[in-house]
Amino acid sequence: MINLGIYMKDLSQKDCMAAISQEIDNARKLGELRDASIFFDDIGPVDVRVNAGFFNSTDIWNFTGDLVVFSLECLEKSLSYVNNFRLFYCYGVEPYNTLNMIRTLQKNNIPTIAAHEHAANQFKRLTNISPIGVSDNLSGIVQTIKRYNHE
Amino acid sequence: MIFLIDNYETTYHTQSLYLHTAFDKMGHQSVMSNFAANSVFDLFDTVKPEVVITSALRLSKDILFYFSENKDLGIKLLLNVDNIKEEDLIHLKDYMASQGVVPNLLFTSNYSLPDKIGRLNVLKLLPAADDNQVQSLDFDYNIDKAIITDSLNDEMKYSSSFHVVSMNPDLNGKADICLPCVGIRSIYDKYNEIIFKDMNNVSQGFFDALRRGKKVYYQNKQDTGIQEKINKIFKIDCNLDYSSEKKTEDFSQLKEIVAQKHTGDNRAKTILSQVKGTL
Repeated sequence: MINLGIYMKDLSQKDCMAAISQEIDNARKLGELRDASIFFDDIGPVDVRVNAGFFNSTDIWNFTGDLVVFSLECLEKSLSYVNNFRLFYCYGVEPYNTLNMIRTLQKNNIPTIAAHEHAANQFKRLTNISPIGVSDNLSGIVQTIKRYNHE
Repeated sequence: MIFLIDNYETTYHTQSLYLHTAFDKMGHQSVMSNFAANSVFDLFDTVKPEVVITSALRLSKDILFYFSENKDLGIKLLLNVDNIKEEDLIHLKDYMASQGVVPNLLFTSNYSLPDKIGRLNVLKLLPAADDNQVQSLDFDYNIDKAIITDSLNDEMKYSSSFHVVSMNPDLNGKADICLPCVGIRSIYDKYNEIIFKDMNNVSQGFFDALRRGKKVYYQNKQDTGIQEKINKIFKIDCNLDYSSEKKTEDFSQLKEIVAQKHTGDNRAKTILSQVKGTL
C-alpha cells in the first residue's frame, strides 16, 4: 500500500481532477492505497468528489510517501523540500521546456510516468529514455508507482 | 586601429560579436555598443573610432549626421548589407550620398549581389563559426538527431530520438528547443546527427554545427543547389545530403577546414585586409 500525494498548481483543472478522483477510488478498491493527499498552490472550485485530503503546498514538508507532479514548476518546488517522499513526474499534462525538463529529471534522477500513449512516445523521442509506465488518462498511476518501488 | 562595432547580432548570427573579439585578439582596440540604445554623438566622441562597423538595417539619422558633420575625422564606415535587396541597396547608397556620407566598404554573405554598387566595393563574406564564449551545459544528454528548422510546416518523422530545434523566435513554444544561435552552439555536441531542413544557404549555424557537432547534413525537399555551394566553399569531395545513400560519414576533414578557414578570426582578417586597402 502506498501513501499517494499529488501536487497541482491549481485545483481548477476539472478533467485532471476527475481522472485523479477516479484513480484514487480504483486504487482504494484494489487495496493499493493507504492514504491520498492533494497539494495545491492556488485553490479553486472542485466539482467532483475526491476521496483525499486537500492541503496547501506549504504542507508538503509534512508529507511522507510518493508524490506525483504534473509540471516542471511543481517538480522544482518539490525538490526544494527536504523530506521523506519519492518524486514522480507525470509527463504530458502540462507544458514544459525541453532542456529544462531533461536537466531536472536527469540531475535528480526522477522517474517519469507518461499520461497517455502519445505522451510516452513523445517522452522517448525527447529524452531517449522510456517512461517507467504509461497511464491511460492518469489511470493506473498508483500501480505503476507500486511496481516501480518494488523493483 | 580603433574599431567601434554596433551590436547587430540576430538570433541567426553573431557576426558583430566575433569580429569584435577577433579585432581585440589581434591587438586592435575594439569597442562594442548598441547604437540604437546609446547616444551616437556621445559614443563616437568618447571612443574616437577610426573604423565603425554596423548593419545597414540599423543605420540611423544620427549616425549619418555624425559622419556628414565630421568628415575631417576620416572615420571609415563599414556596412553589413545582409538581407537587403540590390535595388534597396542602390537607394540606400544614393540617400547616404545625398547626406554626404559614402561608406568605405559594404560586406554581405549574399553572393548574388554584384561586386560593386556604383563605385562601392561589395565584399562577399561568408558566415563563420563563432568560437567565443561557448557556454557548456551543467548536464549531459545524448539524442540521435537535431533537426534544425525555420518553419514547422512538415511533419517530422524519424525512427530514433530527435529534437526539433529552431533559431526562429516565432517558433518559441512550438519547436522542442528554440534558442538563438549563440545558445544553440552549446548543444550541438549532444546529437549524433544534425540535420538542417530546407537549407538554401550556408549559415553561421551550419558552420557552428560543423565546428562543434558530430555529423552535419542538410535535408531539402527541392534541389536548391546547396551541395554545389558547399563543395565550392570547402573545396573537397563531400556529400552532406541526408537523403543520399552515399552521404559523408567521416567529418574530420570538414571540421579541420572549418577550424582553419571559417572561424570569426578568419573573417576579421578578411575585413581588416580590406580596411587597410581603403586607408
